[in-house]
Amino acid sequence: MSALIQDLKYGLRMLAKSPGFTSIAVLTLALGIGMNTAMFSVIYGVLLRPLPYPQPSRIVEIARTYRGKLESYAGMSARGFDFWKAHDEPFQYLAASTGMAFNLTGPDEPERIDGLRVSADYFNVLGVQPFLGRGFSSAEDQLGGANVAVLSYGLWQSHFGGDRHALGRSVLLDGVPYTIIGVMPKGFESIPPVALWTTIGQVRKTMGGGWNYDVIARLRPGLTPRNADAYLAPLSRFFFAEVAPDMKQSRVNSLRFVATPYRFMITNDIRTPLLVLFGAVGFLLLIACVNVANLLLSRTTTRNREMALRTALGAGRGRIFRQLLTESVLLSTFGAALGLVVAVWGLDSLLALAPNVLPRAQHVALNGWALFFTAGSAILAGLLVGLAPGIAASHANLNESLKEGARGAGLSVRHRRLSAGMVCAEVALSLILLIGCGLLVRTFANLLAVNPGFDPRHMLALQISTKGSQYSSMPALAAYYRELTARIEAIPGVQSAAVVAAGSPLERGGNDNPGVFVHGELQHPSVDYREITPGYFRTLGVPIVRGRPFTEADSSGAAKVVIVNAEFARQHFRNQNPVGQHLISGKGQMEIVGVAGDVRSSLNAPAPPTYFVPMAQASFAVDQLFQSWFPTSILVRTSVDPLSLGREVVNAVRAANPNIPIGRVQSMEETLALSLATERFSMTLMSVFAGLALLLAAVGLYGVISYSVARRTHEIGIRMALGAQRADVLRLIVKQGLQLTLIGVGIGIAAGLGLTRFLSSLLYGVKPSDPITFIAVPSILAGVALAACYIPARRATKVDPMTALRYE
Amino acid sequence: METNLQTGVEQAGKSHGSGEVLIRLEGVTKVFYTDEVETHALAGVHLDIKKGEYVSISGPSGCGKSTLLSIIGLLDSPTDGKYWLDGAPVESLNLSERSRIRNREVGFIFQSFNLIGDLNVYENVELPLTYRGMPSAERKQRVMESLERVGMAHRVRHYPSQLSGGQQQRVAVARALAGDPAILLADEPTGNLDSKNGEAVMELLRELHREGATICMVTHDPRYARHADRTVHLFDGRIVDEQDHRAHDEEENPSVS
Ligand SMILES: Nc1ncnc2c1ncn2[C@@H]1O[C@H](COP(=O)(O)OP(=O)(O)OP(=O)(O)O)[C@@H](O)[C@H]1O
Ligand SMILES: [Mg+2]
Repeated sequence: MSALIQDLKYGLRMLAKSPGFTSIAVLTLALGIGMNTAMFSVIYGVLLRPLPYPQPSRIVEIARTYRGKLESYAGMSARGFDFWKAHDEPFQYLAASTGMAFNLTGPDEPERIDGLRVSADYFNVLGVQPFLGRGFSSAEDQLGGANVAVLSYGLWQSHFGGDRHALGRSVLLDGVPYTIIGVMPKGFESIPPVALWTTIGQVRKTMGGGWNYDVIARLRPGLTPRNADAYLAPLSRFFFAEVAPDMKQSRVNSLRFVATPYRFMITNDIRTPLLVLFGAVGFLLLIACVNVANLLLSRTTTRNREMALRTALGAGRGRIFRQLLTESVLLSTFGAALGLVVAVWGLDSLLALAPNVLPRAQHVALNGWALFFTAGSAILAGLLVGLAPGIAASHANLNESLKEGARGAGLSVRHRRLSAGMVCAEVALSLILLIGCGLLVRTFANLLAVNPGFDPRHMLALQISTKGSQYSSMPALAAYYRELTARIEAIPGVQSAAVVAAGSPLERGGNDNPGVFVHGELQHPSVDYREITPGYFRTLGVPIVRGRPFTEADSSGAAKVVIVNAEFARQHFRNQNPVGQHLISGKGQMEIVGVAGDVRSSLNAPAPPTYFVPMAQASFAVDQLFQSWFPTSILVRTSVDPLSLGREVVNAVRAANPNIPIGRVQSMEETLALSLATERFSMTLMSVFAGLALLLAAVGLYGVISYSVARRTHEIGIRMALGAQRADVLRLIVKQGLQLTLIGVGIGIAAGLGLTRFLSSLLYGVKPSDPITFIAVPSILAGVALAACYIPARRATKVDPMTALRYE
Repeated sequence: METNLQTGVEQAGKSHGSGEVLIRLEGVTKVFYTDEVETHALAGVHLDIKKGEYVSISGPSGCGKSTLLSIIGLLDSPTDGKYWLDGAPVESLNLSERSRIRNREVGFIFQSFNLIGDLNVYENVELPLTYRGMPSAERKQRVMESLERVGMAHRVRHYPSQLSGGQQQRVAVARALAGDPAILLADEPTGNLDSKNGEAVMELLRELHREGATICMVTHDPRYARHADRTVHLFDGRIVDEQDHRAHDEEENPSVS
C-alpha cells in the first residue's frame, strides 16, 4: 500500500515536472475518452436502455424474418392480429397498436395531436395501468364499441387542469366525442409517445385492412424470446394460408415469424449508423492512446538513465513496470476527468445535430452507466498507454541503457521500432476512419445531387388536417381547397398553390393496390396513391410527359380519371402508352389521362410507382383514413423566399376556415434537409471523428519525427560535416516519415477494404470499395503526413554541424 | 572547383619554399557572442600549411584549437581575416559549395569518433561518398580499400556499438580517407583511446603522411605532436610558438620525405 502511495506521489511529481507533455497527453486522452463517453451515452440511451416498463425484457414484437434476416418493419393486418390472438400460448398478453393523428377540437384553436389506437390488452402488455380511471375493455375494443379515450398525464394537465372529474367527460376527436375513461401516470410514455390512446377495434375494416398494426406481447414469466420463436416459427405457414392466401408459395417459404425484443425493433433504422459511429469513435480513442503511449515511450526512454539507475539500485522490473503504469493510469484518470467535460459538451452538440434522427433521444444523458463506461475506458486507456513503455522499460538492457544514456541518445533500436510501429498503427487507424468518412461524404454528395423530380427551391409546404371538420364529402373538400388555393395565390409573391393528400413530396405516403391489366392479365401491384388538386403538377413544376393534367372539369360527377407517374408506366405498361388505359378500383374503372414526371419520396430510392386521383373524385373514407397517418399538404410556389410568406399563407388558411388545424410550416428545402437528417448525422459525426483522427495521427507522426530529429541532431551534424547538403538532410527525414506513413496506409487500405462493408447499408451511389475514395483519401493523408514531417525535417536542415558536434 | 583552385594558386603564391601552400590563414579571428559575453576564440591567426605537410596544433584547453580546425575544415567561418584553400578565397562560398568542399576536399577525424550508430561500418565509411553521387561499384571499391588500409575490412557488417574505441577510430579514419581528401583534419584523435590504441592510430596517420597526405592534427600529447613535421602552439587564440621537428626527426626517422 505504501509502495502504491509512493508510486502515486512519484508519478504525480514526474507529471508535474513536464507540464507540456502532461497537458498534451491529458488533452488527447480527454478528447478520446470524452467523445467515447458522449457516443456511449447515445448508444445506451437509444439502443441499450431498457424500456421504461416493468420487466421490460418480457416485451416482444411479433416480427418477420425473410430468409433468416429480420425485416425492419413488422406490420400486421387486423386478421393477422386475430390469428395471433388465437395462437398466443407463449404470451401472457398480446396487443396491437397503430399510430394516428387526431384533430382535437375544443374551446380553443383546433389542434392536431398524436394518438395511438390500441387493443384492449395494450396497457397490460406494457405493464402500466392508468393512475386514474381504467384501461380499455374488450367490449369497447371492437367495431361499434363505445368511443372511449385514455389521456396522457400531460394532456390531462394542459386541457383539464389536472381535474379528477375529467373522467366521464368527453373530448372531441375529429369531431366525434370520446368519453374519457382513464389518465395514465405522470412520466408514462408509449411507443411512440402520444397524447392519448383509444381503441383499435373500431378501425379494423379500414386501417386493419392493410398491414398497419404493430403487434406486441408480454411473454409468460420464465419464457425467453427464443422459446416464443420456437412456437411461432412452425405457425408461419398456417398464418399465411389463413391471412394471406394469395401470397406466392416461394415467398411464404422464406418468411418466418419471430418474437423480437421490442426495444430492438424500435431502433432498427438507427442501429447500424450508431454502431458504426461507435466503432469509429472507439478507433479515435485507440489512436489517442497510441499517441500518448508514443509520447510516453519517447519520454520514458529519455528517462532511460533514471530507469537503469533505479534497476541498478535494485528496483525490480515489476516495480519499474508498475511505476510506469501508475503514471499512465494517472494520465488517463486526469484525461477521463477532463473527458467528462468534453462528453457533456460533445453530447449536447451531438443531440443538437440529430433532433429528428434518434428515437428516445430525450432520455439520452450522461448517467451512471456513462460514468461507469468512462471509468472503464480510462483504466483501459491507461493500461494501453502504459503497456508499451512499461514493457519496453522493464525489458531494457541495463548495460545498453547506461551506455546509450551516457551518450544521451535515447531510444534503443527495439524501442524505436515499437514507436515506429505505433505511428504506423495510428496512420492505419485514422486512414480507416477517413475512408469511412470519405464514403459517407460521397454518399451525401450523391444524395444532394439526386434530382428529386421537382425544384424544391421557392416552395413552401403547410400541413393541415380536415378530419372531423365540416367538410364531409370530397366535393365539399375540393371546393374548400379551391377557395384556399385561390386565396393563397392572391398573396403577392405566390405563383401558384395546390393541395396533396396521402403524402407530400420527399415524404412517405399512402399506397394502394389498384387493378391493372398487364398483358391481358389482371394484377394488383402495390403502388403509391395521392389525391391532388388540379394545380399540383404545375405548382411542383413536374412535367406531364403524356396526356393531360387534371382540370376543374374532373369533378365528382365526371368520368373517373387518373394520372400515373413515369415509374408506374415503366413498371406496368412497359412499351405501351398508358394514356387511354384503365385502372380498376373497387368502384369501377378509372381512365388514365396523363403520365407525369417522377417525384421522389426519399432521395435514396427511386420514385415509387404512383397514381394520382383528382381530389374531387377521391373516396372520402380513403381520404380520412390516409389523413390519420399522412397530413394533407398545401404546396405553395413562390417567387420570393418562401419562409418570408409563411405568416401570410397561414393567415390565408385561417381566413378560409379558422377551424382547420395547421401543422408544420416549412420550406421544401427544409423538408429536403430533414429527409437527409440521418445521413447528415452520420456524415458529420464521422467527419468530426476522422478529422480528429487525422489531427492526432499527424501530431503523432510529427512527434515521432521531431523526436527522431532531436535524437539524430548529432548524426545530422556528422552528416553535414561530411558534406551532406540541405536537400540530403531534408530527404533523409521526410523519407523516414513517409516510410512509416506508407506502411500505415498499406495496412489501413487493407483493413479498410475489410471494414467498409459494415458501412454498405449507409451508402448511396458508392461502393464500399469505391476506388475514388480509396485513392483520394490516402493521398490526402499522405499530404498531411508530408506536412507533418516537413516541419521537423526543415528544422533538421537548420542544424549547425558545429553545435551538433560540440554538444557531444 | 578544380579550375578555381588553380587560378587561386597565383594569387596566394608559394611563400613556403618547397611545397605548394594548401591552406593559408591571414589574421583570422573568431569571436563567439553568448549572453552578452564575447569570447575571442581566435585573435589573429596566421598560418600556412603546405601540401603533404603534417602539422600538429597544441595548447591549453580553451585556447582555440578546435575552433581553428573547424574553420580550416569549413565547418565554421572566421569573424574576420582571410582564408585561402588551395589558393581560392573561402569567404565567397555559399552553404552548398562549402558542403561540397567538406565532402570532397576535407577528411575529419574526431576525438569521439562520431560514427553514426544506426549505420554499420561499411555504411559509415560509404556515407561521404554517397553525397558525391558516386556510383555504387566505385563506392564499394573505395570503401573496401580504405577499410583494408586501417585493418577493419573484416568488420564491415558490425555496428559502431559492437566495436572497441580503437576500432571505431580506425573506421573513422577509413571514412576520412575514403573520399581521398586534400587534407585530413584530426581533433585529438587519440583523446578517447588508451595508449596502445592511441599509438596504433598515430601510426596510421604517420603512414598516411608518408604516402603524401596533408594532415592537420590537434593534440595535447607532446609525444604525438612530435610525429608531425611541425607543431604550432596556440595560446589565447594566437599562435605563440612554432616548432619544426623535421631537423630532429631526421635521425630517428630518416624515411620522412
Ligand atoms: N559555439 C561557441 N559559443 C561560445 N563560445 C565558444 C563556442 N565554441 C567555442 N567557444 C569558446 O571558444 C574558446 C575556444 O574553444 P575551443 O573549443 O576552440 O578550445 P580548445 O582549444 O579546442 O579546447 P580543448 O582543448 O578543451 O578542446 C573557448 O573559450 C570556448 O568556450
Ligand atoms: Mg578542442
